Amino acid sequence: MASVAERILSEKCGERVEAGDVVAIEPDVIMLHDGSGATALRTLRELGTERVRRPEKVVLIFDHSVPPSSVEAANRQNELLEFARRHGIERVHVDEGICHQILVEEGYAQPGRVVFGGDSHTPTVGAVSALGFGFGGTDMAFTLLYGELWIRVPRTIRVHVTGELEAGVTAKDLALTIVGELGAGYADYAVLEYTGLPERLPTGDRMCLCNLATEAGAKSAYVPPKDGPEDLRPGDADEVVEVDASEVEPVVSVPDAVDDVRPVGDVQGTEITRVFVGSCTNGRYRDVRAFTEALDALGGPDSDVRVVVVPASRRVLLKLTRDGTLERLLELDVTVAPPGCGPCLGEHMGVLGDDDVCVSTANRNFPGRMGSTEADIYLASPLTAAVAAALGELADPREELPDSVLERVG
Amino acid sequence: MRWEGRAWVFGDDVDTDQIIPGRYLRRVSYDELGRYAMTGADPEFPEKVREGDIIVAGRNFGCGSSREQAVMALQQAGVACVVARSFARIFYRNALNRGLPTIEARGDPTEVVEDRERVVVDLDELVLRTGSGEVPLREPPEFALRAWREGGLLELAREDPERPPWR
Ligand code: SF4
Repeated sequence: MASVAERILSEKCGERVEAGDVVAIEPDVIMLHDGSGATALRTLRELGTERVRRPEKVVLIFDHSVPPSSVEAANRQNELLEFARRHGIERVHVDEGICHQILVEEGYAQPGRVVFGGDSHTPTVGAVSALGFGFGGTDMAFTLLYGELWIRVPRTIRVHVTGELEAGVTAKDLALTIVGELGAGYADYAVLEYTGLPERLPTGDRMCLCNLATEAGAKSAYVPPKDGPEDLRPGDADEVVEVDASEVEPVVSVPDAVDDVRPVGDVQGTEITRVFVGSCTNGRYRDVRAFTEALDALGGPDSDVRVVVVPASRRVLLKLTRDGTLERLLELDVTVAPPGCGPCLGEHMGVLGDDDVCVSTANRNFPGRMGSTEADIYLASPLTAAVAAALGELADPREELPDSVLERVG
Repeated sequence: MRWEGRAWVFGDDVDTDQIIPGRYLRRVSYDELGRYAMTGADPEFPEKVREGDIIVAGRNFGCGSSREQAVMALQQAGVACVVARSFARIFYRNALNRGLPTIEARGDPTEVVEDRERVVVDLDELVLRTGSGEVPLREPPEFALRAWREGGLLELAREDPERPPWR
């Protein structure tokens, strides 16, 4: 039996295709953000054309430099809005949230759909059993122009997770542990298909897992729908990797590689100056909620630590506002920035200086990712981030947080 | 297709920050990128490299961000092609779009090729030859060959924007 990815892509092609075949695919959704949208537009103009073959499939999301961080960013965004108007692109989301979050929240990503996105973390939509693929600006320009793009049908690596996560250990710890075990390039050209425990996790946690698949090199990621139709259930896999969730500990990716993953205990005591909670990895309601409860339980941030929380979307922010979490965060002296990518890409809303050591809930810790190339970034779960914020240093959340909190949020 | 030139050997997981460090992206204009090519891995590279030289690397060449400037920097520095055990896929695609041949070896070419040695990359015979040995190469897809010959998919699209260059 073919793999799910092979079946979904065969359906799109109207003929049976297999891993390794090079095929032209018409995606169901064409996603661009303010960064990749601008590059795609420039490339279209280089080609001397501005045709958009399937405007109804295009989703334009401003999230990277929002609200505009510079004159240049503002001009680029205005130009993209004008472009959307001229071509009848109606699905435009300005300042509403991070592209991958919006694709899921708005229901553009649906089981069995194929999403081509101008962003390397497009595989995140695998959380709702859609197949997302990320591309550079030129490829997105081609997709606008032709409504299709060539891809090589990926092979499938299944990550089968058995057991349960212990209290205080989160989906982020599981996701980082998997990246650490596979290594940065392991899943190059492959779909990572998560089965077992991930199928039972909430959507946000599934998004976290699929999001970090990119850091193992994966071309796409997929979690089968729990009660989905037979043809979206797992089929063949070229390789199966087993992970026992009950053995996963709270971990961090230490500077400067995402796949350099160690138990928090190994770097216990590392002093930190900044905490960033947000991004397409961990900026959702449950993440911010868990962070806030944990931070509150520990009496708020250490006076030497600056904390920025960036909700993944306006809907997330609204929910945090309605249930009082926002108020608690502000009372705890935490800065809450408007929805979007925030400092994740080092452009604004809390860029790091040379001497900063940041605990971030995002997905990349390469030198210079969040600003200065001298700064250190540790990637961690919202719980580990809360403990670091409170103590001013890295520590294992299982040791620091009261059981009542661990059981409720972890 | 066939290239002959000096080989510059790098390891596994050469990321786009090594190929063109992020700090140059906003400071340097598009046609000056070559002056900083590979400086994240070897600061002297731009002085040493000559037109027609060949990069040889291990696994996952070009991983990290999706910046197309990485490809432009190598091209401007005169790199004729890159032979690696494997490529990160977004880099591979960017290279194809801009006409930089990226050829996969069967096995690890860095175990056979010495830094600075003269090598021949022969796509008709699917082999990379050195003074002392050979590395078999994988056959590139037909449309990739066509794209490399013509200067990239972008060039093909420019000539005929009506037809997808992979059709
Ligand atoms: S939050 Fe960070 S990783 Fe996610 S899309 Fe934005 S910049 Fe990229």
